[in-house]
Amino acid sequence: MNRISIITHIILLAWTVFTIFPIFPLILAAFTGKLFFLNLTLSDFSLDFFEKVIAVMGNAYFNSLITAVGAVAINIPSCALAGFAFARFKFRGKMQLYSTLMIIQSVPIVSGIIGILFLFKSYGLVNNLAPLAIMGAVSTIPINTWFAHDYFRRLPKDLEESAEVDGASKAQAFSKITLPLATPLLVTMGLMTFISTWNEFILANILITRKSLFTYPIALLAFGTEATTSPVGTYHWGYLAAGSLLGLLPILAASIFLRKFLIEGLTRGALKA
Amino acid sequence: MKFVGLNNYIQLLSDSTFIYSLKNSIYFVGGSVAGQCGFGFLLALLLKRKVRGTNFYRTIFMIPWLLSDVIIGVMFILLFTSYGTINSILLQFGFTPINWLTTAELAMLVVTLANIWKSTSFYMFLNSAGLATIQEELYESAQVDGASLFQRFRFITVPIVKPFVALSILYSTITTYNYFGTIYVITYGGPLNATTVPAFYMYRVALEWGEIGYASAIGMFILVINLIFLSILMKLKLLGGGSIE
Repeated sequence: MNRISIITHIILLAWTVFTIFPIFPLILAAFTGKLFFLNLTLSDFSLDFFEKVIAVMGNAYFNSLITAVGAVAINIPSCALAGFAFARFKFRGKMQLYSTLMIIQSVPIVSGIIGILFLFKSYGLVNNLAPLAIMGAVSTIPINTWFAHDYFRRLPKDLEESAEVDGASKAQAFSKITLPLATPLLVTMGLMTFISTWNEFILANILITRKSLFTYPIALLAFGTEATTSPVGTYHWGYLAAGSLLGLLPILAASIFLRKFLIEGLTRGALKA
Repeated sequence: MKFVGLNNYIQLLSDSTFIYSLKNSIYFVGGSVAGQCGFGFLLALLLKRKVRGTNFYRTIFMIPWLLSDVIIGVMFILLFTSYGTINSILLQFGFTPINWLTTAELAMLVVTLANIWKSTSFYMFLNSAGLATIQEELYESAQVDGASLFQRFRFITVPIVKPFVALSILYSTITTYNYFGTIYVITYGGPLNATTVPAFYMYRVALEWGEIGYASAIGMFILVINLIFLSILMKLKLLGGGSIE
């Protein structure tokens, strides 16, 4: 028994090392511009890279924030209401609608990326953050509706029913009784949408060409292209790493503070369970 | 506009780059699925033992899954570029540095590794959900009856988690097959298309060469493969929906 525990710990620690290892060169390069920890002197460390990156990419940071918040603002009301309807109402075609959502969840967006591109182009939504917010909201609709349905299904109906007996409408019962009980759900849904919109770069890379509208990942990508094409590529690693580190921090902070919500949501929402 | 009939599809079948990209995606998908699902299941199994620090491990393991492909790409470039960390370590120990990103097979290895690094935790959580449905009493009564650790695994764990493992394998296959985020950043399909997968090829055909018709034909091909995987998924009744009444 004890031996098995030791092996368990060894494997878990090994995977921890594997997980953390790639982050170290990033931190090192962000402060020193070098990729290896030996032969470093104290004078190598500086905050120059961060200063430059903040000056150049502050705008992109802001754009990403607006886009992600916009996506969350579209996504949460839609998914909460849809999930509530799936959990509480009987209507024709419910099963079919639900299956359709599951199918959409399983077909990745890439299959339709050309169609999506032309749709937005035909509406003139190029160099505009709105389509990114819309796609960010849409791409997590299936999984968040799934979460919401699962969550509301587990809440007892009695509270809503007694509110309705006292004369509240369905909408009032939902907003006054059910929604306040669903904070963990709303946090999980918001995080899923925020993170996936914050990280998205393929669509943004196509739709945004104006530098002032770059979102964080594509601003970083533009930096990376500079780094690899410049004759002294090593010099740019510092900027690239500092930029990555700054993009990583909000996600890291969110995941540590909201670990409980996220893990619970992932474990339960990954499938019907 | 000119009607071209099936020309785009005929061109597709004789396009050697496309055939090459299909071959690449077999390596990419095969390696990623084996790594993600294998390690995902192993880690879920180990974390079920409720060892000390379970929450710590879970938090750490979750981080890569939350990061942007661009950041993951930067990390792996810093590690594997010719003057990168790995080569510096090799040099320090007296080995010759390796051209990770400019050798076809090694570049594929690096992008596959990046994909495993990124997504294993998702499959860990998925399998954890499966393992959580097993009641502890089953193990206890089996232990009382004298079943060994292996027998308990074989006759209690395996039958219950089978559908979850099947789901993770299929889901990981579909996702990886359509995925090119880290490939875009780390190798951009190179060297000489050695890491180009069909989805990325479609992206380049559409946006760099502007051949929308041909790119759409590739898109249709990708979609058909997706639908095949999806129909397997539906056939095995692995998707949610049982909870709808």
